[in-house]
Formats: sequence, structure tokens, C-alpha cells
Amino acid sequence: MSDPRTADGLYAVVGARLDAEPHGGQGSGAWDVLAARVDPAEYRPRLREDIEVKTFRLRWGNDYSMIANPTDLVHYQVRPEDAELLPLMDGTRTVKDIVVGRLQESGDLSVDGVADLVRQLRVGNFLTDPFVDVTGIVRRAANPVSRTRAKAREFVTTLSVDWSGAHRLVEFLYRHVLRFFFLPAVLAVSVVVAVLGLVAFVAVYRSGRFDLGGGSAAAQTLILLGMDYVLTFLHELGHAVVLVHHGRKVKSAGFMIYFGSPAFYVEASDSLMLERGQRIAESFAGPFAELVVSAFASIFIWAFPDSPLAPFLFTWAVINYFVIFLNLVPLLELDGYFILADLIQVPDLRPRSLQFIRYDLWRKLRGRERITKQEVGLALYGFVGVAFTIFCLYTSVFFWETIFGGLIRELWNGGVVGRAFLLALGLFVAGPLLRGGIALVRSVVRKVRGVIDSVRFRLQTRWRIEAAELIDGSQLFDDVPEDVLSDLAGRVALKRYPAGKPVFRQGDRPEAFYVVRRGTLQVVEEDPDTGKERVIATLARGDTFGELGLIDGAPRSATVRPVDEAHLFEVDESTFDRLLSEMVNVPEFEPTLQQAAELRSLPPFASMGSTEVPLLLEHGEWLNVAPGDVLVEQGDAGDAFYVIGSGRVEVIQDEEVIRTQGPGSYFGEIALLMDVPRTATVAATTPTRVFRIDREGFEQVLAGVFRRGVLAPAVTVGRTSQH
Amino acid sequence: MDCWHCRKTAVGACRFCGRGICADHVETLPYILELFRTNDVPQALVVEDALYCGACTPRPDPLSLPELDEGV
Repeated sequence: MSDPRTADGLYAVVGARLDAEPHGGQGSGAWDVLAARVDPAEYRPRLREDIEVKTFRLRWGNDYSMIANPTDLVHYQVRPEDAELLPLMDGTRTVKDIVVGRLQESGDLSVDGVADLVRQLRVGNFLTDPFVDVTGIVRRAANPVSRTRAKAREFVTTLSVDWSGAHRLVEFLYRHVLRFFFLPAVLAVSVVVAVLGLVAFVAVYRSGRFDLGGGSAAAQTLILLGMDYVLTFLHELGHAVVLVHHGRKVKSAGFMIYFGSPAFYVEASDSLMLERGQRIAESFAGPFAELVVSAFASIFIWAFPDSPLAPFLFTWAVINYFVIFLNLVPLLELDGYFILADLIQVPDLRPRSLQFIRYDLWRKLRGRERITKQEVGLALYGFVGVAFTIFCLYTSVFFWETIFGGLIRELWNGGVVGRAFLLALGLFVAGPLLRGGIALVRSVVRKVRGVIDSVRFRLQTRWRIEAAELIDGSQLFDDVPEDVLSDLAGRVALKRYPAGKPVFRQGDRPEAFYVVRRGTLQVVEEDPDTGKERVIATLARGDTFGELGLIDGAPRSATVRPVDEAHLFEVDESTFDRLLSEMVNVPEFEPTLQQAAELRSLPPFASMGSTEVPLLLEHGEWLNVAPGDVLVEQGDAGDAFYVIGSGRVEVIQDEEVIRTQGPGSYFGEIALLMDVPRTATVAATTPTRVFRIDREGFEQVLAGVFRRGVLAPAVTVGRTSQH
Repeated sequence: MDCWHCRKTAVGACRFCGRGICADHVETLPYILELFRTNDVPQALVVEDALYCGACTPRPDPLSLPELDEGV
């Protein structure tokens, strides 16, 4: 045999294998092997042994789980029910087995969620099979960039320089010095010092002996800046050392330009694996380190007010306490916010509140809908947060002008050299603002372009063809005659929805039907009593939604919200009605929609998208069973899976009734997994309607979903850095 | 040949699957033309911007096929 490591060798092996007679019967040929290997449903994921999983139970029911890859420090936030699947990923089960396992456990046939989770885990190197991105490797190899140049490029584009070796330094400092600060006695002394320092500062401030003195000498102001950076460094070290104390890792640290000011930062994504109390301690450690250091300055001023250093230290202390105050106020997304979010157990407090006041509040007020207590809290936090941010921007400008105004004036009056230095300093500090301005202009230009594109788009027919293709490709519309399809496509509108803006909300009157052109959307069901939300489906390109509301006229049963910017083809109610009335002449269309609605009302199929439901309908059938009729006989070969739509059945084992089952429950799934005889008899006790899907159909539905293509990301990583 | 996406006349064919693509829908991906080893380091001759239709899914990671060795 030739060397399989060379291209010729590989092709020779494949060629010889393809030429060889298949052996072992069906499924052993080279193409069958290949087909099985590329089928995601047949993939056997195996979680790496060092992967950590933690589930966080929160007061409001918004539980979540974190998965950590400790080697690469990659963290995924997933739903607890997804995390429960992880122990099943031991290399013995296929993705399909895991899906069916979930069905048995929870009654939820959420196939795309499982496939997506496995895909994300693979890419994040959480599985034993290492993910090798050949395309990325080739791209990087084709455009080699030196390390220095890469760093320079990183700084220009992100205004930050990252250092991945920070953990070693923090660990060294912790082992030799900083670990003593975690001793109760040392910690208590630190707290006393911090409190005494604050008291001393208030006493000095109230004495009126010092003021901020805008006319500080330039050199003194520069020293002040340098000391401020030292303090920021200690602040970040505070965060990092708590991480290390709890056995976590600092992913990286670095230097960045943050709101125009040079600053240090720590990439603390590993804190997502800490317990709530530890996370609060980690968030507080930064400001606490500043409090302790500032305390020494305050006590010094209080003890030696006549010292020449006192006015300088007073200014420094004022800056420090102002920064500490900003850090601890929970209305800005700084340490205080994370402490509050952990305390009240709402990890996404800020984005949720902003999203609520931006989109949902006005609709609720207009519609005079009931606003829950939690929503009142969100609205209050959102409004106060926005007002405080504006207030902070205003006071910051005033504050910094008071502190550094003297420096600016001195430099301006300091001749050419001074002015050149001021210009350089201005560019350095105002650079990010300039960048922000450029980004704003770009954004406006993009929006204007978008409007022009939109007008141009309306004048073109290209996207209407695209809409027609998507509608034609949809299982719901496969029976629509070409002229009706053409009419429908001519009346669709193209709508763009930014991430988070609901297309419609649960309880809304149905007004349109939608086809996803671009983007990912989540179908979210909200419990009207508790306000708790549950993602029941994820929609991607080609998926349709909203048709059921138009058919039965009932209010929307769920909210549909884009995960990223979504482009939707919208068919308004009158057009849809006109299409439907015309479709009366087309047999099977209306019943298909009704069946889809009926099927979706069954819990195991509730989270199925518009692509899967027609597949189920194609491969399954509804059966009406009279009382006493036997659906499954103990000892028979298993060949189908049943879900009860209405009525009741009893499960009989060895002539003894072991349980009864009602609407929404199911039986017979074991037969789809294993070739074992039926373990019990199932007979109807009332007129019963069941949906029956055979083994082949079930396999095809699952495979169909898995092969659908790119699935929506269901994982997000929350806070990643501390500033 | 027509474009897979919009049925306009295609200007090229996807290097990975052969679907037709028009100028509006054309995308590019690196394509490995030849693989070889020099001093035991894998080397590749690459077309950086081979035509890609955007419809097929070239897998970014290699696939293990130990079964191909059987019986050869």
C-alpha cells in the first residue's frame, strides 16, 4: 500500500476501496461509510474529561448553566436542560440517541437545539475530537502577519493590547504576598483601614482646608495621572487575585483606551464559573483595593494637614473616591452593576431593562396591557440608568476639567513645545472619541445606504424572486399553483428587524405571515402569571411563522424575537386571506395547515419548526381509535411511536394495568431505538386520537432536521472582562 | 447554466459542488489544490479565492475515515 499521508496515497486508498466489492451487506460500502460520517445525527460526541459544568438556580426561575473548557478558557452559557444532556455525550451515543433520550426524559423533541449544542461544543473544543479549522489555517498561512504587526493591528482596531501571560504573574503575587489578604485577621484590618480612611477623608473635606485647585502644576498633574494608573492596576489585581484564590484562571490582562482614558483590564470570564457569593466578592475586590489604598492617603492628610504633600494627596483621594463611587453605582455597567445583578439574581438586568423600555413598554402602554411587578422594576432601572449615564457624562466633563484644566492651560501657554505636547495628548485621549465620531458617521451612512438600498430593492424584482423561491420551498406552500405563488410573491414586503425587537408579541392580534430571509429568530413562550420565558423554537432562513394565527384568528401564542438582525418577508393578513380563499380550490392545502397546528399542539412537537412539522405529517398519520382497541400488543415487534392527541389509553403489562395516559403523552419510542419486542400492551379506554409515526419516518424527520444546514447559535457568553 | 440562487445566467461554477453561481451570489473560499510534505511538515498549494456558491457546506475540519483502510 502506498503512503496514506501523501495525497497520492490517500486517493489510491479511496480508489482501491471504491473499486473493492462491498462486503458485509448494506451500509458497508465506502459511500455509505462517508454518508454516515458526515451525518451530524450519527456523530458520537464525547465530552472531554476536564470540562466543567455548573448549573445556577436563580430566584426568578431564570436558571442557567455554564460549561467551561479550562484549557482554552472558553465558556458557554446554556439552558439547564441542555446541560443535562452533557453526561450523555460519552462517545457511546449518537446525537440522534441523545435527542431521543431527551424525549424520553422530558417529552421535548428539540432536535435542532441538541444538534446546535453539539456543533458549538465541537467548535469550542469541548469534545475529545479536536476541531481543526482548515479554512482558517489556510487563510492565516496565505496572509502571514508578524507578531508585532498583529499586536499593532489589534491595538488600532480594538484600542487594547492583550497579554495572555497575566495568570502566571497574578499567581506568583498571590502565592508570595496577596494570599495573606484572605486571612480573616488581615481582611478585618483592611476593612477597618478602608472605613477609617473614608471617615478621615470626610473630616478633611468638611474642614474646607483643601480644594481641588485647578491650577496644579503640569508636572504634578502628570504624576497624579501616573498614580491613578497604579491605582487602576491595583483595582484589576484585586479582581484577578480573587479569581486565583478560588482556583480560577485569569484568561488575559492588558491595556486599553476606555472612554478616552488609558486603563488596565482583566479578562475574567472564568469568574462565570464562580458561585454567586464568590462572584460578588470578585466584583467588589477591585473597588475595595482602591478603598484601602486611598484610605492611607486620606489618613495621611488628616494626620499631617500641613505637609507639602497633603494638597496633592487630597486631589488624588478625591479622584479615587469619585472613581470608586462610579464603580459601585449599579446604574453603570461597572462593578456595582455586577454586584447588584448577582444580588438580585438577574444576570442580564441591564440589557433586559433597556430592551424592555425600548420595545415592549410602549406597546404595552399603547395596548393598555397589564405590566407585571418585574416589568415595573425593569422600566425603573432602565430609565434611571439612562438618566444617570447622561448625568455622569456631564459631571465627568466638569470634574476632569476642574482637575486637569490647569494642566491644559499651562501646556497651551507653554510655547510651541507645550502646545505640541497638548496636541499629542489630545489626540491620544480624544482619539477614541474621534473614532467614535467616525463610527457614528459610518453608521449614519450605512443607514442612509440601507434606505437607498431598500428603495432600490423595491424597484427590483430580485428579492421577490427570492421570496417566491423560499415560499415555494416551504412545505406549507408546496401545493400552491405557480400563478398564486407569483401573486403572493408580488405582494410580500421586506422587513428588517434589529436584534431583540419583537416581530410580534404573545397575545398580539395576528396581522401577517412571515418567511425568514436572513437572520435567526427565537420563538419565546411567556407564562402570563410568572412572566417566565421559554424558548420553544429557533427559526432560520427559509422557515415560516405566523400562519397559524391568521388561520384560526386567535391571538399570537408566543413572541418571536430576532437573535441578530433579521430580514423577513411579510405577507399581510388580507393577502394571506386572499391566497387562502383561492386555495380553497386546491385540495389538501388547508387541511395540511390545520394538521400542522394540531401537531404543534402536542408537547413533544411543540418546539418543532415549520420545516420539521411537514416532515412529520409526511411520515406519520392520525388514527382514530375506539374504546377497547389495542394500539400496541405486548410481545409484538416494535415499529412505531405514538403521541396522544385526545382521549385516554391504559398500559397493560402481563394483564395488569400499570398506568393510564392522556393527551400530550406518548409511548412506543423504545421501538425506534432498540429492536426489542413491545414490553406492554396499550389499549384505548375512550375514543382516542393518536398521531402514529413509523420507525422510518421518525429517522427521516430527525435526519432531515440535522441536515437542514446552519443552525442558530443557542449559546452566549456573558460578562467577560472587568474594567 | 443558471445561478443556483436566482436562476440568472451563471458566470462560474462552485469549486466544491459544481452549482452555478451568478456575479451577485458568488462567494470565495480557499481551496487546497495539492497537499504534500516537506521535511515532514504538511504543505499545501492553495487557491485563495476559489468560487464558492454559499449553498454547499465544505466542512472546515478533516474527517476520520479509518474504514477506508479495511480490505485494502
